[in-house]
Amino acid sequence: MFKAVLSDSNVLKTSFEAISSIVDEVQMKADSDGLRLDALDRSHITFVHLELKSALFDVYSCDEPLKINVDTEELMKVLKRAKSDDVVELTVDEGNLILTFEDEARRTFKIRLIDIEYEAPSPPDLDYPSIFEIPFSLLKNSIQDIGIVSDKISLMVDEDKFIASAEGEFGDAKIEYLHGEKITENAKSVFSLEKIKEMLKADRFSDTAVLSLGNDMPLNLAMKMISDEGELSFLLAPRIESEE
Amino acid sequence: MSVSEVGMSYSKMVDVYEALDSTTKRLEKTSILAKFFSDIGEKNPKLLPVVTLLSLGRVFPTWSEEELGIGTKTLMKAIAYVVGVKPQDVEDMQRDAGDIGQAAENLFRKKKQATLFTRSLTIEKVHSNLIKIATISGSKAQSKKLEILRELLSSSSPIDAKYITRTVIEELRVGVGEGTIRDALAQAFGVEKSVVERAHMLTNDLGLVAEVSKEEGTVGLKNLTLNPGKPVKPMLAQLSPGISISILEMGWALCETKYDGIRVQIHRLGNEVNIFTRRLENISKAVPEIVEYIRKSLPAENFIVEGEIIVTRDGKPISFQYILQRVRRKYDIERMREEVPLKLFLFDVLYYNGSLIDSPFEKRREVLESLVTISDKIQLSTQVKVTPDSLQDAENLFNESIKGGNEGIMIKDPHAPYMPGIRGKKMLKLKAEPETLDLVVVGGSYGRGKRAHLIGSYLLAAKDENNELKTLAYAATGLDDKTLLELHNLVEPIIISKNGRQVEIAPHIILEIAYSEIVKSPEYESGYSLRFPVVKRIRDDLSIEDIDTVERINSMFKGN
Repeated sequence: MFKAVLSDSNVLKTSFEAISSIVDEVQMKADSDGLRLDALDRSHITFVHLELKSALFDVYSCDEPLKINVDTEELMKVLKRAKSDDVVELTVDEGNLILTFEDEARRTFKIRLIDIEYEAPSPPDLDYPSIFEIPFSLLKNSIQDIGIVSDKISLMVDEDKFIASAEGEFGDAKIEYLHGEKITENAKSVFSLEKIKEMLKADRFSDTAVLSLGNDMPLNLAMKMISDEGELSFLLAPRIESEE
Repeated sequence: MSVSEVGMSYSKMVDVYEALDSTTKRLEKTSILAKFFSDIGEKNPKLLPVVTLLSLGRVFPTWSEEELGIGTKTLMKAIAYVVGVKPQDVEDMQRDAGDIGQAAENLFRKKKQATLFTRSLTIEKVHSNLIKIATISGSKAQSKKLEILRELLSSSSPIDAKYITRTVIEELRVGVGEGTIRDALAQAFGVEKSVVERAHMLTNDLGLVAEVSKEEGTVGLKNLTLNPGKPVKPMLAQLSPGISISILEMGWALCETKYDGIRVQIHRLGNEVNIFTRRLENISKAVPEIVEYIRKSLPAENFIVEGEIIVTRDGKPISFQYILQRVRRKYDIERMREEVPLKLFLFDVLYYNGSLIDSPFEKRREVLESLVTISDKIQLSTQVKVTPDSLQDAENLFNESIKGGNEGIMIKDPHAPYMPGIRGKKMLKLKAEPETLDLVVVGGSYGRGKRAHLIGSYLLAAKDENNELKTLAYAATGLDDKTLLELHNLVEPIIISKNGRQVEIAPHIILEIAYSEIVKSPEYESGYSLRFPVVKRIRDDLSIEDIDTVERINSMFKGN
């Protein structure tokens, strides 16, 4: 028997805005600790991890571990129908994930469970030289700034600043931010703007983002809830910028 | 990763492709493949059918209707995404490299986008993803296909990418055809080439042929038979060098009208009726009425029959073009049914209570006749038995065929088995030239007996470069009695002279003449003559200036 009730539908909505643009199918695992999801996009470029602890939910029960396989696009279509102040209830029956939205009416949607032929691997264990926090909105703005000149973005961090920049055919852009953290090693990697945009669709999960950066290493972008009851993180493979 | 990723490295397949590409010699290609097949057969027999098809750049056997359905645009998008460039860059590279496979390889060598995990491709993974691509349908099919394709490409080495790309667009470009594969299978598993060939023609599934060659050898291959539901390659006809030669060679022959439509193979399995073209495309949905007629006119048992679908208007066959409108149709089928009505002429049966392909044609025709309830919509091809003593019957059939708007005749050896995919001397065709000649009547001769009062054959002429008329042939047939009389009445007033049964006629009447062949002939002034000339119609819309020239006839002769 699985049942999870959440009074704020935005957590799910914003998470799946991002997840559904990265992977087409996911496997969610539920157990007594909560819900978790690990997925790798088919092109092996982005890894996504979502964890919602049981304490986050208003009601949470899960007698035995459970795998919930869904088409993310179908799930997103349903989640879009949830209003901010709707109470969301998740249950499963034979073959369906059931979502119920409740305000003055009770609306129930069933989403067919699917067969998934592979399980996502666990993310590679990477040792990052530089880890720092920046406001999520700053990151989102920077991406939009860069989008004007290029389709790739260079992320760099030094002792004082976090720098997002791009050189385009018709112009350059650069965003500098004083991070105020103790960074001992400079790091720089370049990423596809399109891929970062996919991750940043989860813009209501948390106000801050923790970035882990290395030299020509994947970007780790983690968003944690203040209460530590939920985490959404992404790992994005870098672009290979050889000198041409 | 998970268990399904275990398998044989795709690089083994790629090595074979590269080896095949490095030589133009067929024998070398054959032995490269033979070695590969026997190696796979030993180490991983389950994969043998898969690699046999992949060696041809195919995923599905020929009889299958499945297709990948990925266009160049989608493919370019997938490459662009995985490599980390714009689709436009892929297009540019394709232009430079000449083909999309080479373009993919070049781009993969300078890949811009890293991945989080690397794993090498297995043949099993490539195969299962390609199968998956083909089976996806529905509203989001294209974007899902794109995802599955990206998954393959993201694990590809540059050289893997080259061949996956080429497999997806079904242009492998390593110079291997079905014949080479068959020879290689024969070599690899020590079976007769001809046995492999027969098994292939019957099953249209080289994967299956490979498996049976390996597991059961010659005996197993010989046991392969045709199965209703799976189309076989049709037996093909050679051009007949002439009625008498052909029939004398066969001893006697069964001659049939050659209809001008499309040749179809009709399969009934259980309650399912499927109609395949000679290229093995299933057109059942496009011609629902034929399926209905078949259900009505043939017993509800498993069978394979062969025939020709034609379009008729007012009972007469009309151009082949119309039928193409029907078979390529995917919508509005009901309306087309009314506008372009179809008829079916059956001429052979390959399966009924078991395979009949080893029975002589004479016997198969008997079975066919016992099977079919003739109606207006389903008939048997008009057939006459012709012996060396009755060659005239074949000529008459040819003339009637042309007159009736058909293509010519088939001359079939009554003793011959059905040989799928083989173009041999057991089945011959004699066709009228598709081009007709417009010729002027310059003379004629009166008939005999009942037709003694009518001019029964007309002497025809073309003009030379000096606008002088040169005789070419006598045409005696093609006209029905009414038109014959009409022509006689037109001609009689312009007869210039009579000499016994022979008459000279002033050159005013133009006739359109069909024929089977232009031949050299000293008997006529033009230096040429026509074999089997048949009057198609009176061209009262043309004048003497419009008739064909000896020069054109000369060039048509040389063109042959």
